[in-house]
Amino acid sequence: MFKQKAAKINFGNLRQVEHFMQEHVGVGVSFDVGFREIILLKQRVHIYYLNGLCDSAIIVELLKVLIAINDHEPEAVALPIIVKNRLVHQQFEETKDMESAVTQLLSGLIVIFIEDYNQAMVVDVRTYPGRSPEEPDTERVVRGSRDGYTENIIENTALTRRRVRDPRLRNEILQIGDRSKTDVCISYIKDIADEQLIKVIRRELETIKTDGLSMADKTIEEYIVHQGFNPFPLVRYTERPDVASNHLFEGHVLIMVDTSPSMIITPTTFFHHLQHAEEYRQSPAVGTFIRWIRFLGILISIFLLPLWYLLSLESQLLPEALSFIGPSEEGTIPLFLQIVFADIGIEFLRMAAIHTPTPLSTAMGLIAAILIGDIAIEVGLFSSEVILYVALSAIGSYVTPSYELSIANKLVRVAIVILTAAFGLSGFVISSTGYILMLAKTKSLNTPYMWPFIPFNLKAFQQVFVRYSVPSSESRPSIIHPKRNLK
Amino acid sequence: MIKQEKKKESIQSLRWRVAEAGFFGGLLWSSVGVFASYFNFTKVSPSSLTLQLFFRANWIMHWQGELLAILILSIISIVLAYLYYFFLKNLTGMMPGLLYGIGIWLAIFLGLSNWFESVPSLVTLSKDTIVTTICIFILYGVFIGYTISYDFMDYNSEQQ
Repeated sequence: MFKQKAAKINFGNLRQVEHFMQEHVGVGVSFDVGFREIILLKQRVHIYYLNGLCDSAIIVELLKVLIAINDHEPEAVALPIIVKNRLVHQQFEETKDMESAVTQLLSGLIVIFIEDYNQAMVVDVRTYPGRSPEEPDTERVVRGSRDGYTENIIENTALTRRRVRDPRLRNEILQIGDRSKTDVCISYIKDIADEQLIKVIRRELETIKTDGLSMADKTIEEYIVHQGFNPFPLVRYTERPDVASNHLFEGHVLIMVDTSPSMIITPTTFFHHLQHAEEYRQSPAVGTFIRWIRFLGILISIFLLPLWYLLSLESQLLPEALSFIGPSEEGTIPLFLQIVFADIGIEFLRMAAIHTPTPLSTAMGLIAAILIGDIAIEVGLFSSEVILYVALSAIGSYVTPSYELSIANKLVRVAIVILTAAFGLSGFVISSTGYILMLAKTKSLNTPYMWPFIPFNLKAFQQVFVRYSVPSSESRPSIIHPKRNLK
Repeated sequence: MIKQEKKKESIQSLRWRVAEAGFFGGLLWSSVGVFASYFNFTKVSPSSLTLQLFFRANWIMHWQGELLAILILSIISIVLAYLYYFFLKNLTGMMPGLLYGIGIWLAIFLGLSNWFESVPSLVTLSKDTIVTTICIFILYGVFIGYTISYDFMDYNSEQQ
């Protein structure tokens, strides 16, 4: 309907254009879209703008130059040519398509219609409200660059470009969402990245049919990886330009979505979620150490609590050396319920911490630690061992660099505990096996999720297990199918 | 000529990778087996599948024996990986590997147990032991099978 109407508009007929703008774009109703009429060489010129997203200073400059046409130019035949010449701005284009002109207008560009001229002139004068680059909260490092992506896609491509001056870096932009028209950008280095993958991503993005992407990157992710009810994060996010550019060099494809500071890195495996920029800021030995400790923490966050629960359920399993494990006295509440309650309690805390204002968070911490933790043991609600193991696995999940993965692992842990409660040892063993098999079966954009573990690839697995120094790791990971293997 | 040489080279590296998968698969999953038998999940440990078949020394029952058993199993596992490579590499997905694991498990507890005292036969196994060992063998089978079929697929698509 909008499209059909837009196609019929004669750009040279300003009355018709104005009517269209009033009817379909809400000029005169919405207070943020407006237009200004000026007379140049006795011809009418309309300038449409969106007041919130454009830079008035630049517009005023442009207007000054335009008005000066009346003083300097003789009565001339070709006003459009003069105007085009006088619009002193490098980002200028002409369009015959009303629909795209309106989209441009609503993105903050100004659109200029000249009487009896069949094209519209579009000048990019937008400035978006936004913050300046800050260190991302979720990916802090002790040393190293402190800049992070922002909500502005133009700034984000600029931050990447600062690190990748390669002329072969490509930033393809497309708009997604029938109503939101959100800018989405696919970035890759042309002679490294796998063409097949780029094709798949482009196709997936182009087939998205939705009104808007209000959750930006997350919505895009759900469309391209077909997540379903799989709790595991199938793409990696980063807010750090250095991490993003490193992945570009390896041959990954990035997807950026306007209004989100998180870049989507594809393809991703499970082990990408276990890496952190901090490892690469330390010497290789220290980085490796950090990594091992982190792996240990993640293993603990999944398996320790169910294992302990199993051992205290069936104490005949305990080897002699470890016979001290297990609660010495049965509490009034069954162990299973204690674990579930304590785990839910920690989940309460986590959720509360996200939206508690900072001044109140100290109070919240105190209440949680002393009132709930301590008193619950004294009253006899929880045995202290339960608190210990639940806390250990909670800390273990905070060690996981990827927030999404830590929550998914938490779900798995709860599932293993429940199955252990129901079926004892078989429940524990079968659910753990199922966990690994499920991960191995998962694929993200045709990439096996557990690579390089299952399917096994020794060289890549060493890279996961040991943080090698940068000069000694000269080949790109084979899973990405880079066009050039050596760096 | 060069192309042929390259082809030869990559089939060699493919075979080498089969050996790698076999060795590390054996290493990893028999270590898991030792862990499981330490916690008494299973009465059958790596050492009872290897060393105890022939020897009856005291140290074999302890961790030294298990360590040696892990090493032996890793080497046997290379052979198992090649068996998979020669007969089943064309199959895709995880299912063949899973069944391969169950097949090895059956071969051990139905076949091997007839001849060797240290391997209990299927009927005498406790439920815990059955579940634990079968899970470990399934994981082992998937590890070997999926790796080999994935590498082979990769190799094929490279050749084209």
